Amino acid sequence: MSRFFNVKENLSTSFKKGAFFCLLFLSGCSSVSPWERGILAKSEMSLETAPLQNSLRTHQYGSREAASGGGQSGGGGCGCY
Amino acid sequence: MVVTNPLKLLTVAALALPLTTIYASDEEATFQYGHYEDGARNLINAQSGFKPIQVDSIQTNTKLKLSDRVRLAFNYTQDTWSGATPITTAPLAFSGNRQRIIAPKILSGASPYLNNNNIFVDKNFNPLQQDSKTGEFTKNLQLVHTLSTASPETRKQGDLRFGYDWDEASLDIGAGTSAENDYNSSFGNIGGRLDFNQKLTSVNFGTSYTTSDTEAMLDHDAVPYIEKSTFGTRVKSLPNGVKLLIGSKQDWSGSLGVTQVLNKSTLVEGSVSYTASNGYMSNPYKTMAVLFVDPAQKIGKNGQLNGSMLAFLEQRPEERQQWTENLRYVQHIDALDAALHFDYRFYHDDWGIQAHTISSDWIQPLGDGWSITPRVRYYSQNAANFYSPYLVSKQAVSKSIYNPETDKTTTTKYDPKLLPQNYSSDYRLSGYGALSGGLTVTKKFAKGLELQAGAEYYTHAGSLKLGGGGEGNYSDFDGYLVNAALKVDLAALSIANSTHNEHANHVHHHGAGAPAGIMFDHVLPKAGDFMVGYRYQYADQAGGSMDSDDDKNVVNNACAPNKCYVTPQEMSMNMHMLDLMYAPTDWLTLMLMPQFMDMHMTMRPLDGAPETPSMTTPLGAAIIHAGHEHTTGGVGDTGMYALFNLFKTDAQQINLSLGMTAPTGDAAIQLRDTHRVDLGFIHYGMQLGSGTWDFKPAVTYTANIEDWSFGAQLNGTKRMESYNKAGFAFGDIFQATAWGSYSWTNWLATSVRGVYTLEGALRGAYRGVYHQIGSMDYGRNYGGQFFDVGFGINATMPSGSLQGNRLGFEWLQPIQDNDTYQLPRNGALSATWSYAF
Repeated sequence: MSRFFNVKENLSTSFKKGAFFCLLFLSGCSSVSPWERGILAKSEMSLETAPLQNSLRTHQYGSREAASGGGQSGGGGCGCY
Repeated sequence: MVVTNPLKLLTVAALALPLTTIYASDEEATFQYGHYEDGARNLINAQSGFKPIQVDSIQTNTKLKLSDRVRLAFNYTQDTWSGATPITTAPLAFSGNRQRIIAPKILSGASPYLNNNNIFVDKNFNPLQQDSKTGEFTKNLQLVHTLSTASPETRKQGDLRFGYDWDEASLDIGAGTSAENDYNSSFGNIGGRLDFNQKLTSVNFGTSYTTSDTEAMLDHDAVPYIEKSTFGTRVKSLPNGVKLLIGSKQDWSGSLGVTQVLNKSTLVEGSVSYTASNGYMSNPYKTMAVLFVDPAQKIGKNGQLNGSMLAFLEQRPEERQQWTENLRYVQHIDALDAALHFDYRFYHDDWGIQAHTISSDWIQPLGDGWSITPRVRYYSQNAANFYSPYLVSKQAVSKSIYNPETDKTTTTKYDPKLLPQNYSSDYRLSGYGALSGGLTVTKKFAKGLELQAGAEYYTHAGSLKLGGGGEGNYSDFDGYLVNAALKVDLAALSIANSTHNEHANHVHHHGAGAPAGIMFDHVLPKAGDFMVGYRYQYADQAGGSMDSDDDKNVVNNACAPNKCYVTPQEMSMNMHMLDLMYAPTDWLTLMLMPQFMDMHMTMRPLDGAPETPSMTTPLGAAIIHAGHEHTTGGVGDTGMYALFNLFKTDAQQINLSLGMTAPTGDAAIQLRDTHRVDLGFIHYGMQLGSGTWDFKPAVTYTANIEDWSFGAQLNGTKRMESYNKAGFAFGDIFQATAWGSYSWTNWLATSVRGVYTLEGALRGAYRGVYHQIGSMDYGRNYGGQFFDVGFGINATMPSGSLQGNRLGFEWLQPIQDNDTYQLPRNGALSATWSYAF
């Protein structure tokens, strides 16, 4: 927890680390202060929009489409029909 | 450490959020039901007599925190499916589906035609249709699927995952197993997340290993028509004539992704994954139609060549490498307070398949806990390089050569080595596109309860393929998926609970609670209260005398005036129930109980039974089919109840429950046709519901004296209809039960209970085809008087983050069964979890 009392120092060192990853996305990223992350914390901004439904949909697509399996590294049974 | 500066406090809170699991709760319990159904397939000149495939799924997920940093998750999934799917494709000119005329419609029949030893093609090997009256040939390129149907089958999967969180990283390790009657797999995975840049950047990685075994009995209707020259060592012949296909497969998979916050309302994720598989990857039930045409033959006067069509088991490559590249983009639309999600995925593999998937979701919160999410998805793939709807092999299926010197004729069969190494006519490996659209509605209630419902329509068509050139419209189909889910945020509940300790008191007040097998024993204390619960019941029947004198008695008497051929050997039932209670007023508690069940049953031949008739007769086919395990599963009947308190003092109360079950469970499940014989309805006890509206009253007395609790209940089931749609009704039930329990500590109690049950015989009989082969096919053998004793244990979490959760288990041990011809009961287990808030 002590790191939070050195917010300025951490921001600068982390920024260097983050800059590398930002380059991966050519749009370039501005720093978003922790107190500006209210919107990002909303449930609708979660990468998985509806995890429950998605697991059923993914299973149905997997039973009907050739491009199944790839994309996750979870493993699982067939249940093919 | 006390953080006083509000800005710092907010910073601490925001930084604690891991980016990729931004809103996933650490402690939650979910239950979901889903139903998928294909639309009818287009069989061109016939209408399918089979029901299309349909799948019922239930899923439960539980996430718990074992400590501040250690997470535990358990997932259980169960799918039951039945119905028809394509097993092969062939030119329509050579007829694909046996036609059975049932006026006024032409229906596709009991079994597929897989081969035809008199087909005609033109000199370019295009299929020719011969007019049965004029004998004239016309080119006909139309293709058609051949359908085959399956009796219900169930898959069960369970997996467990442990996670550990550091301040800026996490690690997850998981393993699980999936079982179905012809395919078993086990898997393990490990994954993690590293956060950088004040958690604006996260790197995700994962790897998994899966091992799977196929052990499939080839379709007995199809086997006689399948060529065995390519079986190799993969297909084994069992002594009873069954052909068993055995294969195994391994998959290694790895993924790497980066999630990046671009600004305060945008985030993006890019990831790649790779899967390497080797082993048996074919579908054991799919066949390939091969046209054997000897090009050296004399061309007929109408330009036709004569040949034969044979069916081969499909042969997919035994190695596969798959790559995917994913991009996910999430943008908050401030003006509408909505979020736009856009995903793109590119997939390619070394089978020659490339696929593009584009999907978009719009999540619109509507206020008051409601949100609505419309979504669209487009998918397009090109065909695998070994895909073909059918093959042409330019050789004679067999050739006879007469040798004048030896005066002998030698016949040589086709050379299987001239066939391609790999081939499949599975429409899933063809070129096509799929478009789907759906809607999800979510309602979040205060106190951490969330309900979700969704629907999606899916359409598959060759013409939807990106860039054109997709498969013909004979393979087009559509389908829909509906689902409903309930989610309980356990962390939010415990926070809500710690602010008012009323429910902990409430639990204490009622002592240990009734044994797990008891329902309707309590009402909610005041208006606005909720309770969510989950009940599980397992019942097993097995054994019985193996004595041949007893068998003779069953053969001669249980099926009178007929003889019995088989007897049940083992039967088990799993039942999952949701227990949802809500008190709209202080004096009334409403209860809704959806049920999901699965059952399986095995039978054995009886000693001294009459000789089994030929398997081409309906009775013979039904008796032989009894050698297979029978399974059913899906939605059961749905209970709806109103509970009232009639009398209450500090130590005693009497509650009355009035309600009924709606016949939502299927009571008309049939076995698939076999040996071209309609086997008709499955045994009564394997149906998922009663098929009738049933009135179910109960009155319960409970008393608490210090650490002791006592209770008694009378309950009944009265069938409100004489017969269900299938033609029968189960008997009415009366039950009386009494129990006593002792609380050893403030959280643990044990109970002992006695149960008496009186059940009437089954009335009526199936209207339609069914074959009476054993005692379970006669209604008079149902019902009777039963005595059981129950041993239970109840635990109530008195404190901590799971405070207020209750768990109960009870084993019911049969003491006495009646003397009808029924499979002896081994016992039943009840398990319950409930949470009132």
